Amino acid sequence: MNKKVLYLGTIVTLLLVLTGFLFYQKSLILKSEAGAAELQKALLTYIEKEEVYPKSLKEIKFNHRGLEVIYEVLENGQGCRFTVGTRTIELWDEKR
Amino acid sequence: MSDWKKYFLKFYRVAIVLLTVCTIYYVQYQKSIRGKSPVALSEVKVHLKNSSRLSFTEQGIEVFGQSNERIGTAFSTSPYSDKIKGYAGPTESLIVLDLNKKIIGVSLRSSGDTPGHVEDVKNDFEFIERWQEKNFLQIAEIEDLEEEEIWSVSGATRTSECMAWGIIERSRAFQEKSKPLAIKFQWKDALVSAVLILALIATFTKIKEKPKWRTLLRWLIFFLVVIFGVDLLCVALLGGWAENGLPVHNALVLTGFVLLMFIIPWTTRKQIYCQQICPHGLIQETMAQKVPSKYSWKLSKELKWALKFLPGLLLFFALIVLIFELPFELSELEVFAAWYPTRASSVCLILFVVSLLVSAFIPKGYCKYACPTGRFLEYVRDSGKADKFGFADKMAALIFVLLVIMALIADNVEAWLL
Repeated sequence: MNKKVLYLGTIVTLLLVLTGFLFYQKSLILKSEAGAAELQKALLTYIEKEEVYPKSLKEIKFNHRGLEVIYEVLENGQGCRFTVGTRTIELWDEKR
Repeated sequence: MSDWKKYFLKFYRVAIVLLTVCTIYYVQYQKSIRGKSPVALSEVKVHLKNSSRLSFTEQGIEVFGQSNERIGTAFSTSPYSDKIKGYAGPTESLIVLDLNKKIIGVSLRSSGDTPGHVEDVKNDFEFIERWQEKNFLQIAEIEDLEEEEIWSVSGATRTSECMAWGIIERSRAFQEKSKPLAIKFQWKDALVSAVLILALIATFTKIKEKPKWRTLLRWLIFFLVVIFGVDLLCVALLGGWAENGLPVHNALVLTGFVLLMFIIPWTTRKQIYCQQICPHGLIQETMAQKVPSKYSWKLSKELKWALKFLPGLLLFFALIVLIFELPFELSELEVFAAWYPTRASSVCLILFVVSLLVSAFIPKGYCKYACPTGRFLEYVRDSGKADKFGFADKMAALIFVLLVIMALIADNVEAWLL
């Protein structure tokens, strides 16, 4: 193969890979923000109705967009923390 | 080359640069005034029934009637109200004013709070109606809601107070923006001026023919730039200005300095920034002088040919980052931030060290093969009689066309990524 093409191809490929990775990161950030906002709304609706934080997210319906979701109840049910992708949010009782 | 061709080429290059900058600015400007979720005409119609068209401006959303006459102004409180949190998040409201800046109506657009609380606020007509007839400019002075007889909604205290303070904050922000900004001068301006004067002396006086004096001047500039942290020209700085406009109020001298760094090579063929001011150029030259030429690396013709494309490709990459707002720090594309190590990222510091090591064996290797800022400055430089409409000019036109296409599809791409 022509060496010129090989060298230039390598540079362009590396930049394309970096650009692709950045688009993937951007997608992850957008999905995380949207997913976390949806979960927060769903959780608030649940808490308003049941007056307790759910023990798990089985009862909560929201679009997690294929992202990893971590949920935990904090300080004996006074609050909760959830992570959707890269976004983490904490909710606490008003009384706390 | 005939005179008219020469002038055509000069103005073509400036036009391409200006059009590129204007495109980036326009895209960001549109995003900033529309916000994350642009106000829809139907939302305004709730308060101003005759409204038929909205025009988004920096000072708010102008509302036009059926006969295309201006009938009012509308504001979304976001992003100004985003820092005010209710129970679980901020609340965004819509404010609609008549032509005398009196509030016709407010409505809650979105909130991160409990849906039940949000509905309570939306349905509390007393709370919503409290805002009507109030002078939008005067509400900026409110310090206590109860003194103004704005009672929070029972059962949704935090959400309603969050909405109220958001409206007040928007009024404050509006008045801040309406005030003409005063031009500020700082002690660094004197340094920038000193650097500019020394560089002009080194470029345009007979000192340039006296190597000792020229070297002395360059080191003097180097110490002023590095020790006092004079801002260096870089893609991150230029990209930030293209997005947000020139900082004429806060950094008038720096703005003038940067513009001159383009105007001087464009009009006089002298590459003043790279040759006299850039500290990285000087250090690279010094490194190369310290290593005997027998140790110099000889790059193959093919590799040199391919590497010549790198700065241009990096510039195009920077445009992609700016238009699509990709999570990439543009200062990491170059080595310049590393001259102030406390501000620099580890990526930048690594690039800095590698570029200096390489420059010991390939004289000014970074400048020749990797500096996008240098390439940008070189593009606008008048190259004299030998100058002609070449590959770089064709590529610049192609990049501009691609930039416009990217600007047009940016919103769709973002929706697709979600």
